[in-house]
Amino acid sequence: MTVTFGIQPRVRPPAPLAEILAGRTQLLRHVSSVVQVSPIQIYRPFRPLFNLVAMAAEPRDQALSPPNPEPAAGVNPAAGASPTGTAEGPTGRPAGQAPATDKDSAAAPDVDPDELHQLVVEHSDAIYRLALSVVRDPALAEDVAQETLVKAWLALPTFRGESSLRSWLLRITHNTAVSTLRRRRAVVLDPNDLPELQTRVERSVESRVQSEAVMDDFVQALDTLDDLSRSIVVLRELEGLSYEEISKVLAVPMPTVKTRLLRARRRLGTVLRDWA
Amino acid sequence: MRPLLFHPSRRALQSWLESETTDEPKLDDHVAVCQKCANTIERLDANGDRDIATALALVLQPPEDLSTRLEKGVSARLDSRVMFGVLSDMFAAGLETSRMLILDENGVDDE
Repeated sequence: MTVTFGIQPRVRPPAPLAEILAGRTQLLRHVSSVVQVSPIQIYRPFRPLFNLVAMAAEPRDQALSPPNPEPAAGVNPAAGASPTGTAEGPTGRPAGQAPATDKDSAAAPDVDPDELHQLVVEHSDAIYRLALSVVRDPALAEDVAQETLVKAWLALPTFRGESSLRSWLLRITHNTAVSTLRRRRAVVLDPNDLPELQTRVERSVESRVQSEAVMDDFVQALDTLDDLSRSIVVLRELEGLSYEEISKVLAVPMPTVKTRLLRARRRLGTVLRDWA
Repeated sequence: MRPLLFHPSRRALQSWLESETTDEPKLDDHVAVCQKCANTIERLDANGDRDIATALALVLQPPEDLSTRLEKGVSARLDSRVMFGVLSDMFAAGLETSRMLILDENGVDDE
């Protein structure tokens, strides 16, 4: 068997391995020419060492990229487009710009702690509130928030900045929360086993408001709303999104947003009338 | 169905906002695409319902250390993805190198 080493491997492996192997082969060829020994004689005993050295010598976004990280499930980066069509990323750079890697690699971007910190600090509360309004379980909402941020971080290179970053994140949040809830409902057959918001709410309300009875009624009224209505009222009243943004974040027509919001407000408002 | 010829009045939009039904398809279609009317709707509903907003803020209040916990969790998950990428690269590189050494240009074992 004759073995030849060159820049082009004899059998071209699929990308991106081709790039990795090209670097490894170059290294092997260089050592072979220096010590005047056949490349195969060098390679066999020192294969692990060559792998490590060549990998360390490669640019990080090639060497450390997982083969095909999953995109943000169900996320349309164009969703929630604002009329302005511009947005900035967590550190003020154009939002469509990748954090640290090229756009086409679809690889896990290098984690810049400052950028990640800014993203989390600015948006975690809104993400958590929307997630909690859907899943109704604080621990599950935190899991959804974490999942959302991971998906968003990985998908940031594909974010085109056609919507505000917040709308985009909230859309990912809603999709993630809904799919999480579906999975949970598939496992939990008894509806009584589904989480209720009340336990946590009683705790927080006790320390913050005097009218516990009113808040209990409010929580119960909130629980009677469907997931979509709860998300709409949270996005409108807490996050201040426009009807148009809500329509795009939740992928429902604007008249539906209006109708569900109105009904939700009336139901919740009735409970709060005495409190006001 | 013919579209609306003119923008609906503020009163009509207010009435639309206060209607629990969607029985005005022309108006529904119009506000879904008309930026001017969408802006008017936003102005008409600018105040929202502050009582509901306050109650929701209490009910859905995030824990105090949420961002710290999330940041740690997200960092750990991203780091684990990177490590998985290194391991899979190392594993795949060995296999591909073997293929490269053994197979000829047509992908056939030449021994």
